[in-house]
Amino acid sequence: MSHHDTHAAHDDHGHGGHHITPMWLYNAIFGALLVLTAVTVWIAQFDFGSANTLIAMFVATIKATLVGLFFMHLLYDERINLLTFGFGLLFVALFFLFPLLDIGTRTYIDPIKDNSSVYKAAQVQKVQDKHAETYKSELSKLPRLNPTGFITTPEGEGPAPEPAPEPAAAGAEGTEGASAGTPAEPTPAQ
Amino acid sequence: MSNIIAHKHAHFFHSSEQQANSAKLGMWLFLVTEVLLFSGLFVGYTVIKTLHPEMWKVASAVLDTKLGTINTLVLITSSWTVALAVRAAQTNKKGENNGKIVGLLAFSILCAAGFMGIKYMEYSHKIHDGLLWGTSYFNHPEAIEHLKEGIAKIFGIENVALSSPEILAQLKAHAAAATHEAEHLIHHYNSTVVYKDTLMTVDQGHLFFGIYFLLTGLHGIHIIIGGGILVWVLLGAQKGKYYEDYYTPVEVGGLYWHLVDLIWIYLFPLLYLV
Repeated sequence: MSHHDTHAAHDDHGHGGHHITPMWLYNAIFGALLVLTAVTVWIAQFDFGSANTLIAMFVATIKATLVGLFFMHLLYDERINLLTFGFGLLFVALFFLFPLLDIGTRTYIDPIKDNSSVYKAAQVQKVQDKHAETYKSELSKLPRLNPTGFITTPEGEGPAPEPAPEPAAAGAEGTEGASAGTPAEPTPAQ
Repeated sequence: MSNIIAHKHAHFFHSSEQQANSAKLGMWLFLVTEVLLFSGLFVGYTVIKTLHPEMWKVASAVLDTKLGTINTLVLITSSWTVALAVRAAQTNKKGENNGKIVGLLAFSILCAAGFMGIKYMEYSHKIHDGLLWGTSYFNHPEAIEHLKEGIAKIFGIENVALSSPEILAQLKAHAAAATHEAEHLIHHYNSTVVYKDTLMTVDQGHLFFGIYFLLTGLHGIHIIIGGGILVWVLLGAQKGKYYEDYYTPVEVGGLYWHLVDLIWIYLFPLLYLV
């Protein structure tokens, strides 16, 4: 076994060329994790406002780093493992970044005080809507020509511009354009 | 004669070491996907907590910090013993460490069971009190409507006030001829009265418990799977499969267990402490 020859000289390496973490280090890490757990529980009694979460995450990250580097051997292993996990964490950070950008920048907009573009746009929209409303209602008041050439006023009619079908003009429905000028002559349906 | 079963690396690997390293890299890739799986829920946690800070403060205070701390200690201890089991396998020359590996793994498995036992206590308490997600939440308008209808139907008390202890006494008196349904209603009424001064004062409390159950539930599933993996590794160690030249299952199984611990290291302060 070639790897055996290359690593056998190192005292802290096992038979297979793997690093063997000394017992005292495992125990020390375990002790540190217990102490840090006590610290995070103890410190949670005090209210630091918005820093509460940051402090708790700071302690948790120290603990996670200890577990990752020593219990999971990332410190001594092939660097590719650390790199792989690091890239994973990078994408987690990216995942957090955009939702945080969203919810972190949501503030109440005071339309008057801020005189914001949102407010201005809403005002313009309001005026436009009002004009459109006026236009619509004014338009509906105008007298209209019906296809038979008679002027009718919208009063008493439905909103549809079509004239109420009269018995005499009933046959003219299919050929409105041609019969518009000759109301008296009923054209037979095609 | 040694008490180990010699392992031969697969023919498409150059050496045992190369095979072991490949297996480990594969495990790390898998662990990255695990972290990403959890990060979705962590992002959900962040968004809901930021949008409802007052609700969060009140609702998260319901969790039992003592039980959470005990579970943290249980997991950290098991992580330590798993790390020691890997070390015992790394230094296992002729099977002299087989018993040590088995013992350390058995202890870790016991820790896993203990963790789930404490989790069971927490969950059953919350289920009993209606501290659940969505419309199952005791303070959800639908749930309250349902409770009032049930009380009107079974006890004949119309439009019951959800805050009065006298009504509770009255219900209990009524339930002398307690049907199962009546007792169920009293339980729910009881929790509504209990949480009247705290959780009833905030809206959207069900969101906290939704996130709580999703995060701890997914983590609990991982504990169960991790415990199963440790059992499998233990059985192999009993046969003497793992020694200084081959201990990939111990190490890779251990990595999974450490990740479960790693996630709990973040879950615990996020849910129980802040």
